[in-house]
Amino acid sequence: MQNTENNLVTLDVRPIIEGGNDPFNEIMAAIKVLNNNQTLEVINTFEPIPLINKLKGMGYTSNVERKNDVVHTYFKKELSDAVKEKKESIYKSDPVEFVKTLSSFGDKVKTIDVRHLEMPEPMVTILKEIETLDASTVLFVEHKKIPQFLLPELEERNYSIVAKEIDANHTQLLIFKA
Amino acid sequence: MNNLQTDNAPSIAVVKPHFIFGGVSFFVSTLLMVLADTRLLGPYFDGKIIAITHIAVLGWATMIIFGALYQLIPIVFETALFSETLAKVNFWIFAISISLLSYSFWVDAFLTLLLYASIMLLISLLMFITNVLMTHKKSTKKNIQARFIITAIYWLLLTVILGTLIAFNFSYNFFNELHLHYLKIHAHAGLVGWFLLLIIGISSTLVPMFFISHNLKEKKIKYAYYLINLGLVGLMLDWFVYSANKLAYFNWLIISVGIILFLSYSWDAYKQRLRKVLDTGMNQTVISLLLLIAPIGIAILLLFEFNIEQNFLFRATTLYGFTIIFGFITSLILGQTYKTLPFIIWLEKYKKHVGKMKTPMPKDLYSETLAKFQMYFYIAAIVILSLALLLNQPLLITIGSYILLASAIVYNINLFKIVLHKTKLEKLK
Repeated sequence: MQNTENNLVTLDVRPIIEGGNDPFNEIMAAIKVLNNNQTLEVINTFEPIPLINKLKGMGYTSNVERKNDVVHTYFKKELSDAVKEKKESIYKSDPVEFVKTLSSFGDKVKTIDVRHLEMPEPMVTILKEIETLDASTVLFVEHKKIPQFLLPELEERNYSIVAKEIDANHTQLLIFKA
Repeated sequence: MNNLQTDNAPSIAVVKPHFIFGGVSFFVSTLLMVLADTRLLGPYFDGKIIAITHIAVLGWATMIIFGALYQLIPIVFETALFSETLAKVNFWIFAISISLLSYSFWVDAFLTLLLYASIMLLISLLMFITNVLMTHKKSTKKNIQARFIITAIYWLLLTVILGTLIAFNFSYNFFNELHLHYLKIHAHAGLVGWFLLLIIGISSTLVPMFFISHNLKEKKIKYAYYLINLGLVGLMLDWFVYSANKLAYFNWLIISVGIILFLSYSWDAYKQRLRKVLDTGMNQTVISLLLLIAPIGIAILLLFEFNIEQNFLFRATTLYGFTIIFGFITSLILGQTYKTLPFIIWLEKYKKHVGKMKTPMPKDLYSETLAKFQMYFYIAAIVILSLALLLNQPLLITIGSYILLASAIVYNINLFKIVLHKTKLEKLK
C-alpha cells in the first residue's frame, strides 16, 4: 500500500489476483484504516462491481477511470454531519498507531499472553492486570482474536486499546489509561 | 479516523428467551415421544412424528441456534446486530408459529390451522433472514465462518418456502409429484443445508476455541463448504428437474466426503488441544461429531434399498432423521449449552466486577454432576431408541422414550439454574 501527500492511498490488486487470491480482505483492511479525508485508489484489470456495491452499502462513493487496460477505482467516505461530530472512540485497530503507542511508553511495558486460556479466563486475566497497573505503564497482550466482549468493559473503566492483527489467530493489544 | 465501535454484544434480553424456549421445547418433544409411543415404529410421515420433528428442529434446535447466533455474530462479523427490536419481535412470532404448527400436525389439522401457522412461520423466518443479511452487509470481515452462516441462511429460506408450499398443497393440490417427494427435498434442504452447514460454520470457530487448539488447517473446512453445497445443489437438481435418483450416489458421495473433511478438521482440533481433560459440555460435543457418521451409513441403506421390506425402510427413514436430529444436532446443542449459556449470563452479571471483586466462573453457574447424569441418560436413550427402530421393538421404544425424557428434565433443571442465577460477590483477599 502506498501513501502519497495528496491524501490518496493506492492499492494495486493485480499481483494478488495473478497469485490466484481474492484481494477482498486487503481492500477491506485498507478501507478500515482510511480516514475521512483520504481516497482509496484500487488498481485492477476490471471494474470491481461487487466491491463498489458492497462499499456503497457502507457509505462510500466510487469513481471509475479506465486507462488503457487498467481500471482505477476511487473510493471516498460520504460524510454526513452525524459522522463528523461523532466523538473519538477509545478503540483503534492500526499497525502504525500500534508502534507509535508502544514506543511512547518506552520500557514501561507489561506483557501477558492469554492465548492458551479458556474463555472467559483471558478477559478475567486482563481485567485483573489493569486493576494493579500504574497509569504510566502499558499492558501488552498476546490474544487470539479481538476480544469483542472485553472492549465495552475497558471503555467503561477509561482505558484505551490499540490493536494489531498479526493473522486470523493472533492479535496484539495495547491497553493503557485513557 | 479508524475508530471502531466497542460495544457489539447484543442485549441479554435478546439472547436469553431463545435458550429458555429451546430447552422447554426439547422437554416437550421428548414428552410427545413418550405419548406417541409405538406410533414411532409406524410410517415416518405420521402426523405425530412430524409434530415431534418440527418441535425438535424449530422449537429446540433452530431456536437455540438463533440465540447463539445473536451472541456469536459480533465475533464472526465484527459488527453489532442490525436490529435488536426486530430480533425481539421475531422471537415471539417464531415461538407462537412453532407452537401452532406443531399442534396442527399433532391433531392432523392439515387443512385448517396448518395454513395460518405456516404463513406465520414463513414471516418470522423472513424477519430473521433479513436481520442477519442486513448485519452481514455492515460487516467488513470476510471469512469462511461468515460464508457458512450466510449460505446456511439461504438454505433455511428454501426449506421454509418448500415447507409452506407443501402445507398449502394439502388444501390446493398443485404439485405434480407425491408429497413424500417434496418432503424429501424439504428435509434435506433443512437438515443438510441449514443445520449441517450452520453447525460446521459455528463449530469451526467454537470447537478450537473450547479445545484451545491453534493453527488448524482451514482448507479442510473450505473444501467441505464447496463439496456439501455442490452435493446439495446436485440433490435439488436431481429431485426438482428430473424427479429421479439419477445422481443420488454421486451426491451422497460428495456430501459424505465434505462431512468427513469437517470431522477430520475437528479431529485435528481434538488431537492438538491444550485442554486435556474435557468437561461434560465438550464430551457431548465429541459424541455429537461421532454420531454424524450414523446417517451417512443409513443413507446407503435407503439409497440401495436392497429389496428390504417396506416397513423396515420406513423405520430406517425414521432412524435416519432420528440420528441427525436427536443424535448429531441434539447432542451438540446439549453440550454447547453448557459452554455458551453460562458464559452469556456470567458476562451480564459479573463483567462490571471482574478484577475488582471475587466472582464465580461460568462453570460455577450449573451443576456438572447433573450434566453428567443428563449425558448418561442421553447416551442410553439414543442407543435404546436406535435398537428399537432397527429391531421393531415396542418395549424398547417405551423405555428409550422415558429415558430421553429423563435426560430432558435434568437438562432443563440445569438450564433454569443458569438462567435464574443470582449474583454472588465476595471481596478480593
